[in-house]
Amino acid sequence: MKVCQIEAGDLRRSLSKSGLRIRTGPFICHVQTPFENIADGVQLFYKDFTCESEGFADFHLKLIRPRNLHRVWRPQVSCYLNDDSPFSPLPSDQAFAVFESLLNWSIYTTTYNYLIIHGATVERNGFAAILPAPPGSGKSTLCAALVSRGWRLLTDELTLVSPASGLISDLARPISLKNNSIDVLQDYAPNEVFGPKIYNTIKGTIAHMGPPSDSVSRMHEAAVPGWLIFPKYQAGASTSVAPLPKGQAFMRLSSGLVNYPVLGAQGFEALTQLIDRTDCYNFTYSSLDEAMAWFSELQAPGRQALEQ
Amino acid sequence: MTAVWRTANLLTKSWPDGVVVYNQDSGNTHLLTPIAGQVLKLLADAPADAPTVARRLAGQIDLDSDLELDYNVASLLNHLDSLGLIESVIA
Repeated sequence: MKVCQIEAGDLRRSLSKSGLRIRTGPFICHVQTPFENIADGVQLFYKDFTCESEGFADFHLKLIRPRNLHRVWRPQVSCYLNDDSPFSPLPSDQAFAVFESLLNWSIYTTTYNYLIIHGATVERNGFAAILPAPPGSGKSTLCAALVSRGWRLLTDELTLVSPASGLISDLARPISLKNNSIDVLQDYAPNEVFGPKIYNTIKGTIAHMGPPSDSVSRMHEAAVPGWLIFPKYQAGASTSVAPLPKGQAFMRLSSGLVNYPVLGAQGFEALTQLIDRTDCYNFTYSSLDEAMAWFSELQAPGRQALEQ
Repeated sequence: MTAVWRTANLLTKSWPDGVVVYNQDSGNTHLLTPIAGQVLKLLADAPADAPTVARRLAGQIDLDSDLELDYNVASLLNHLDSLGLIESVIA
């Protein structure tokens, strides 16, 4: 069953009672919550996802109202992952953003069969462009713009690399846009689906852009790593691109990996394989049009070595 | 006594800009110069003391084996030792 086949009232009731199991890429997430803004977000952004009311789940997420005085004058949301509470209670009007963060946290902290890169990944013609970057570097803005121009979304936040195959799994979920990039993207991609602005979060104002239906329907198609591009938004800068030597690319990527130390030798082998397969670049931009033009002219991976 | 050096429990990967080394015991990763990578490979092939490493390296990269090379190789070995990438075996 797909989420869009469930009527809005039934979806809220299901979430608030036994919960819903939603398949997101290789994971099944069981979520229980009475919050209507989470139900609304699930209905808007997860409409093309498959779901079940019973069965196995990798993660059990609960987002509930804490039993404290805040519920009277400033309602909050408490969140639980498998009965542990990783975050302090937050204002309940941020509940959908908290749900998204909690799902990311679940994957970060419990997944050991993938190498997890903190970065967005998009795909075109079978090759994936990985965009690893710390918060504030314009990664999500660039990812959302590329998706709006026909690139397939694999992930906005957590790139999952299989150590066995070297392929990247699809984890297409809502893209989290922050602050100025919300208005920028709403102007740049007016046909995409955007959720309401969520104010005063620890990251500022957040709004989500929905994953395209095509990306969600291809959730089981892994992609071949093609390019490793470290993006950096710099206001007023013209687009500049510099090939990044592979040794430096390895060190830069490994320093930001979530579970590289845990995977040990397996992680090292997976990472060297990934770097071997990809053309690596530093990419600075401010104009989305210029950035899109450069990405549209990217040559099949492997040409970089021939040109150097 | 002369220190004979051997590599720690390492995985390595060479690229034109250097050699990435993963120490399986410490979990640390390092990016080394191509020459340092070559020295590690020599020691992985056969443990050796500093003068022997210098002589073998000179043969590989077409350098004269002299005191300056001996000094540089000894310094490099001390650096690799401080990173935990090699260890001495007293001969």
